[in-house]
Amino acid sequence: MRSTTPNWLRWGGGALIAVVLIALPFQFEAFRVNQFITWMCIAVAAAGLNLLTGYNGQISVGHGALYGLGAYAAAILVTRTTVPMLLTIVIAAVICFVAGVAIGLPALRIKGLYLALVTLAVAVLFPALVEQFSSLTGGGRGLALVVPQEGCPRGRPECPVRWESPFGGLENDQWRYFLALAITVVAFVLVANLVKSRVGRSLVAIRDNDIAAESSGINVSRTKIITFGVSAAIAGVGGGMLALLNGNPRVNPTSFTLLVSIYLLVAVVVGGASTVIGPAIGALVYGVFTDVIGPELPGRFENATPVILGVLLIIQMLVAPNGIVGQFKEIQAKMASRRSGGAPEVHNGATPVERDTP
Amino acid sequence: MPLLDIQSVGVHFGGVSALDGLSFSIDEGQLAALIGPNGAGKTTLFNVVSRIYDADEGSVTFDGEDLLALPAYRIAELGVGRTFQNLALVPGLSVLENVIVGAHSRSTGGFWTAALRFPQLAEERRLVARAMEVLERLGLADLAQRPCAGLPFGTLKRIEFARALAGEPRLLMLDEPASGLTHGEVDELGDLIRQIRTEFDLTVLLVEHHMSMVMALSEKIVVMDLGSKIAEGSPAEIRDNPAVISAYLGAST
Ligand SMILES: Nc1ncnc2c1ncn2[C@@H]1O[C@H](COP(=O)(O)OP(=O)(O)O)[C@@H](O)[C@H]1O
Ligand SMILES: [Mg+2]
Repeated sequence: MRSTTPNWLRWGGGALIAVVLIALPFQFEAFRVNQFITWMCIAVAAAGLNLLTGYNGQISVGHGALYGLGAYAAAILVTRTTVPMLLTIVIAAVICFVAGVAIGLPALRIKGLYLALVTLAVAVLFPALVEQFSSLTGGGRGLALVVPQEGCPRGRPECPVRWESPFGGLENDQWRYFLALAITVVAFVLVANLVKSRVGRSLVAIRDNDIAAESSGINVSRTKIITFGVSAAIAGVGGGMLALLNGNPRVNPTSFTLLVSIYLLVAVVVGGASTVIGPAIGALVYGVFTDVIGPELPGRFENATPVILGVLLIIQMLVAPNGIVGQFKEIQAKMASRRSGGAPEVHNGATPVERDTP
Repeated sequence: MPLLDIQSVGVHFGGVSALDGLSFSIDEGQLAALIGPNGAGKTTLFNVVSRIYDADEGSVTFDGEDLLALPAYRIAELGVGRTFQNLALVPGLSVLENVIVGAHSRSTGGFWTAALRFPQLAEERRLVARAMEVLERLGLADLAQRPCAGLPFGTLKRIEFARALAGEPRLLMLDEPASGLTHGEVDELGDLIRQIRTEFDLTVLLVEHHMSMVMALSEKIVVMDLGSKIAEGSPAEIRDNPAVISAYLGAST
């Protein structure tokens, strides 16, 4: 659907956001910059989940596991092979694509709540799998990103990956931030292109009316499976970024618990499912709550962030069920139609456009 | 060789036979109507041809091709388009996008070309232009950018008509296209179907309860009751057929 956002707001807003994103790492200390990088990883993973759940209507409560698979795949490749670091993220994406297709296969037969349960099982199983293959993953201790390189302290042959900037004047954290930002922007641009294309229309058609989709010539099963794979691949890129770029020289299984799967869903829903930028906004909300507001809470409430996020989610479902971006779009559409003097674009209680088909 | 050939098709839901040994055929270029009381099995036949329902017996061929051997998503590409009695639009897409979805089988582009956008630009422009042409032809161009939600039933049926045309069908199956229309609008729709059929060089299978429209448009009428054919012929022959009259009066012969 054509956006109702006026051009000046688009370009002006875009330019402002770009300036802020570029200025951020110069305004904050390294520990904050590392948090920003983590938020970007969440945003990318949530963008992948949004493609599947928001646009295609297939619910996954297991994307934390695919996010984790991407992280471990990249980390293992970095420590055990000589594949260039950023290329490991690409390979991680391919591995996650395959895993996503495998998880998506049952989705051809099951829908809705049952699919949620299957993907939930994947989320619950993931930490156990990490433990099972501890020789590869480091198990509960985590996997240290230690590689043989020049100039390690005290003349050791190996030390943690450092990400020194090839450009003078950038600190390591700033360089990592810009690498993460570049990957994030590319991921969001690719998703934006995808959703407004022939494929994107097919995803929505399948979500809203699979019989209409099928009789229009859309191969529903194939599209659903590939979407699962692509969604998983994007989540894997987020995970790969997290493993390599967020400044923590260790990949920990605690970063990929069931709670993380749920946070990803929350980010999609809060930001705005089936909107391109929604997952980024949702990731920002998540990040601000866990990393900025959470630690400021008085001692007793320190671990209350999930509860607060949960309550917020409930309020949001009541007040703005389409998420922040969805709500924003709705207000814009209303203002636009008021300006043009026409009737509001969407009114409830009108003829349903799909009934008990066929 | 007929374009669409239905032979002894049966569809059973539990104890109910929605179709029971139904046979008839339509020639290329014909405008045929399928009529019968509610529950006769007309929509079920559409769903069998679209491969939404499996036939328990019989055969369905389109231009010599065995439709029952194909998956549902291959039917559009062969040249069979349809509308739905109870609407099957995509509320999450605009009117224009709904019509473009109808052209899915006439377009190309997968995940990669879509994500990179540029390889897909020319195709996208062609699809939009083509869908706009169809919308204009059906008098819907003003609604192109609107969401489908909130439009009247008759308009939504016409959007489905546009979507089916966008698929460049050879056979167009319309399931009660005039439902929800006023008398004047029914006449207008009849004229439109007649014109579109010539312009787009279509074979049409029409399911409709407005007998004036059926009688005025059809070259051949197939009458169904309880899943089987009870009569077939020209409008004049059907009008005077005693079996048809009794089926419509609800008295069983
Ligand atoms: N999916 C289904 N499940 C069970 N019964 C069905 C189904 N679809 C159609 N029927 C039954 O098949 C018969 C024919 O229905 P239908 O094809 O919709 O008739 P028509 O379109 O001629 O009014 C009816 O008795 C209907 O209840
Ligand atoms: Mg019917």
